[in-house]
Amino acid sequence: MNDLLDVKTANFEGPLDLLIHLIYKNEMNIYDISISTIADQFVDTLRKMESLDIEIAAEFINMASYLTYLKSKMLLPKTSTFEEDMDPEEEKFLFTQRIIEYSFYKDVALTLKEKEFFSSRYLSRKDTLYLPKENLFSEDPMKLVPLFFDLINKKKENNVVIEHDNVDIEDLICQMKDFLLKRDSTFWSEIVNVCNSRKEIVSALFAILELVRLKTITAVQNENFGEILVKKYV
Amino acid sequence: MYNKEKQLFFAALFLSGKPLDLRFLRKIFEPINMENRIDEYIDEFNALNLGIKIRKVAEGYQMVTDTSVFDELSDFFGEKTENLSKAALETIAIIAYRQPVTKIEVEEIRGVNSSGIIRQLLDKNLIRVMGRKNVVGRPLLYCTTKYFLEYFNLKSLSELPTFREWQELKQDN
Repeated sequence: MNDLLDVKTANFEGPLDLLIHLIYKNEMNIYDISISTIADQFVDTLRKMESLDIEIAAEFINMASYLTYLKSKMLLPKTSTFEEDMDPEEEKFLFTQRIIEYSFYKDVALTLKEKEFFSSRYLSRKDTLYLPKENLFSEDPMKLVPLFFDLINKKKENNVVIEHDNVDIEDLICQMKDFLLKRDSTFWSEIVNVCNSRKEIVSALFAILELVRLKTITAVQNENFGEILVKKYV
Repeated sequence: MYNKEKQLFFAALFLSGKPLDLRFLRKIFEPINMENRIDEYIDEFNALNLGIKIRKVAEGYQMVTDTSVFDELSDFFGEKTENLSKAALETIAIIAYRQPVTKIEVEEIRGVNSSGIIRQLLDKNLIRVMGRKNVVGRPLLYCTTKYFLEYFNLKSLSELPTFREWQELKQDN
């Protein structure tokens, strides 16, 4: 019979796997395992294994010693009544339960393997296709018309003359203050109209920003690219 | 006949990268009697034999290619994934039945160290951590994912044989 048991450890996931192999080889009923036979064969198989990973070997040897112990306990007449001693019948029952449970999972693993094979023949999308959401139609094309005409009607700037005079921000702030305080509120475009050059526009912007910072005035814009209303800070 | 719900159902399945579950469908469809209507749509769609079919999997619905076109298309569209090893299958079987379960409990049943296998299953998204057990050391508890059901083409966990069924089968033999 031992010739039948020419096994390699590589094929076994662990001691329980080997045990189940032995049980099937001996055509034993899994619910009625002969501990004695199994223990002998288990130890035999272990001897034949030449090279073993130390960690795996430990698990196999642990099982071998457990089986040997259980076997010897079963051979001895029951004389001891100490509670600490293990009851061989009880122990065998627990051991059998463990084997049965493991063999159940082994069978389920086989079922899963089959399912894995058939399931892998269905191809499916792994990533969801997301539709681009852009607000392409929310803008009113009629808004373009005034912008276009503004652009066309914009006064062409005169020939560029390089001037030396520097616009003084502080001066301009004073000017702006006067300009603003004369009226309660004004539009930015009006301020731009008052200015003589691009440089002044830039300075006026700085002036206004400065005044906003000082909380003398405040600027409000209702929508993007809309008119900016400049008014006194309340 | 024009049926907006049916169109939405097929279109949503076409777009989705994972099975659509009933919770999602209830959001866009009239929930009353919804499952029956969906069953009809599926039958209608699958009867067309388009090479694409709708399958019930992982407690939801998924559009997949028919197995009949697999051989011709797998070279181009099939992902090359290694099948799970014997040890991995065994471990995931234990987790599927005993979940939520700790690594130690899995190892007690298998009789061998299972750290590597569990890591591998986590990487493949077949299992996930669902918390910690309230015992000394607070070990992690593992359970299977929806992808596990999808991977093995299971409608739900209850599709696996029960221990009792298996035991009866064994004793008869």
